[in-house]
Amino acid sequence: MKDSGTKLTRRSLLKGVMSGGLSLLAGGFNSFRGYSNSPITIGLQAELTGGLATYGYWHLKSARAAVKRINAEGGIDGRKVRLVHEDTETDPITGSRKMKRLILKKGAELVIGSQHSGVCLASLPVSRRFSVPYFPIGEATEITGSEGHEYVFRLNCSVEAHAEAGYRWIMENLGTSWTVVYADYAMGQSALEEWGSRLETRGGRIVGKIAVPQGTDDFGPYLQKVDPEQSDVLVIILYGPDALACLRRSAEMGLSDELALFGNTGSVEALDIDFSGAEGLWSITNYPRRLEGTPDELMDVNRDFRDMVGINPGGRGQKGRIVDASHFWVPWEVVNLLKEAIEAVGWEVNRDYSRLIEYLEGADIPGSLDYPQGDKFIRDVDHQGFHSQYIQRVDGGKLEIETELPPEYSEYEPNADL
Amino acid sequence: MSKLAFGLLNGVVWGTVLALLSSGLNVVFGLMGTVNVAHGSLYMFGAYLAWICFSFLDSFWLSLIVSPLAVGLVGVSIGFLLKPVRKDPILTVLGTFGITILLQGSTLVLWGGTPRRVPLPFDSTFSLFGTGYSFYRIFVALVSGLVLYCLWFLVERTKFGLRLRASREDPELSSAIGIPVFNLFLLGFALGGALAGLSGALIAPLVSLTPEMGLRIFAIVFLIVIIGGLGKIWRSVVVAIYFAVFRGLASIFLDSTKGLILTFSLALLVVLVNPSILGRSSANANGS
Repeated sequence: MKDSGTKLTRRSLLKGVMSGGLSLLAGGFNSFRGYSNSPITIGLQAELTGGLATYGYWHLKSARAAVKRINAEGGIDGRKVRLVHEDTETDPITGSRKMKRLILKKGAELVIGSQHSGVCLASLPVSRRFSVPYFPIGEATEITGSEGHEYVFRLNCSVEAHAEAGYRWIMENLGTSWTVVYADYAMGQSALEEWGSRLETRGGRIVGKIAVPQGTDDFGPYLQKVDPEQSDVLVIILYGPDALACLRRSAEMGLSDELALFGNTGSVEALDIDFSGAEGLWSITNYPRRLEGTPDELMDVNRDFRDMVGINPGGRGQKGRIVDASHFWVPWEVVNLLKEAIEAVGWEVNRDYSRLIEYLEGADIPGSLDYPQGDKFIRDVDHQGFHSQYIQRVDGGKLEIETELPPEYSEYEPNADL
Repeated sequence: MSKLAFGLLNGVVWGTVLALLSSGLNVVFGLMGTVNVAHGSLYMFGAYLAWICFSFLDSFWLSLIVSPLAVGLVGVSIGFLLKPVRKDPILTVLGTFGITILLQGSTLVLWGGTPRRVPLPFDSTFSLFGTGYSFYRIFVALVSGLVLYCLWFLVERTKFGLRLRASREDPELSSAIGIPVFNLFLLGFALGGALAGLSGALIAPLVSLTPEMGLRIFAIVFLIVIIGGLGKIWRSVVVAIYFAVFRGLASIFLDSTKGLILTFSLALLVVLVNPSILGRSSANANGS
């Protein structure tokens, strides 16, 4: 039998080597070119169901609007941006699982995190394990403190930043004896600690600490503990339905006539506050709900920003849904910040984020259409962002901005070196 | 002293509403032998109907008729859906859990996650030991008490109630003597749904409305029915009032977590000391 097919000659060897080399070269070039043109995949952990569903709805709209605008303008360094998202169901275990899914199944190279601090804390180890930059929105101080790591950056203020900016204002304007009603889980306990310790170091005192379980319907027994003769201010550290129920019962029991009421960022977030129980409530926010509350120099860019996300000047969407004003701008700004950073450092090599991280550490971010919330900076040591905050008051059923607290008001001693 | 008195009265008021909601579950679970996990979502649906009546028809009072009727109809539909699997407790739990997710998800899609609010129908309050207290709360307690009495009368003193209980005790024999067992099954679901809808409408002005509100309260209501004894309307009422009063007082004089632990520990103790409560329940649930 003739064995012509297997005979190795010098010519055939040379041909083989050359064709193999060319194939490798072409393949490598193609794969490199393919990589360069492939979209950049940004993941989003959103609370689309569960207790924080209102937040996730807006965060997804905000991120989509930012991606749409960037893609319409040519993408990032010529590469299109692809947004993938997962619903955390407002649950830390699910949220952590969805974080893995975003990275492993959906190819997310960078992830914008959850509003829920528990989900963020549960997702931090996943971000570290897969070395994927993570931009959480949840406000627990630990996220950029004891639990943080080099891949974590938070653009919006933490619980500690709110306390740092707000406690002096309350002491100077409302009173120095506080009763605090707080959500009895990590966020509420952390906020109580941050606000309380600052108050007491400045000579004020907390006369009552009232822990309330999440999902409480009947606030009567809890508010029975408030002593209006001892307290100047009732500080409410609650979110969504709990904050609403607490305000209504305070009004029914007559407490809002005897005490000043002050709420954390979540106390009026995405709530319809046009009812008598909310009237006169003071609160702190990262961003004004109503367009007319934004600083004059940023009014135009905020009008455009709101148009693109689908929010009217009163802070409502097309279906009348009220925006979570204090936080919905974060996904928009993170997407724009990533574009700026990637284009600045020429980031191309997948999973090598060192230059990107270097760029973000200590970044100064000026207010613009890309950053409509306003000027801010990211502290290099703990990757925590600082920006202006606002004191607002419910007046005639509307949230009126009373004063702006500049970024330096929020800055506190870092809790970690990341 | 005033705090104690407030806690007692407030607990009784909340307890009657919890009892009304529990009684709806008791009719379906205790008398029909079906674990309707969707009961909490039916309550949520009733509360949202109250919000719709107030927001779009400008009448909260209308919801006290619309909610029980509409949710009662949903109850009948659930009964029909469960017809093929109604003798299998696992499948009915799974089926009604699916309905829970469907109702909750639909509410979220239609009206979003923003907490909704129905204003108190009575603006006036009175001073209860130095604290403002709405007259509407007293109204809710009175209406709940009246409906509970009517329900007890219906179940214990009428031919309908007798047939209902008979069809639960021995469906085959009941069917053989001409009792329309499946029709009674549907009527039981209608009644359970109507009670959930009425509870939701009554409570709507007192709480924040969210799609999760039903799932949240279901665990408490389920526990009340189990401890009170399946099919025992008045015992459930006593347990519901105990739960609301004790938890309220514990929240006033202790802290929330200790209050919850104490309330459930005592309930557990009752079950451990008197296991016949559960034994009887299990036996009933198994149709023996």
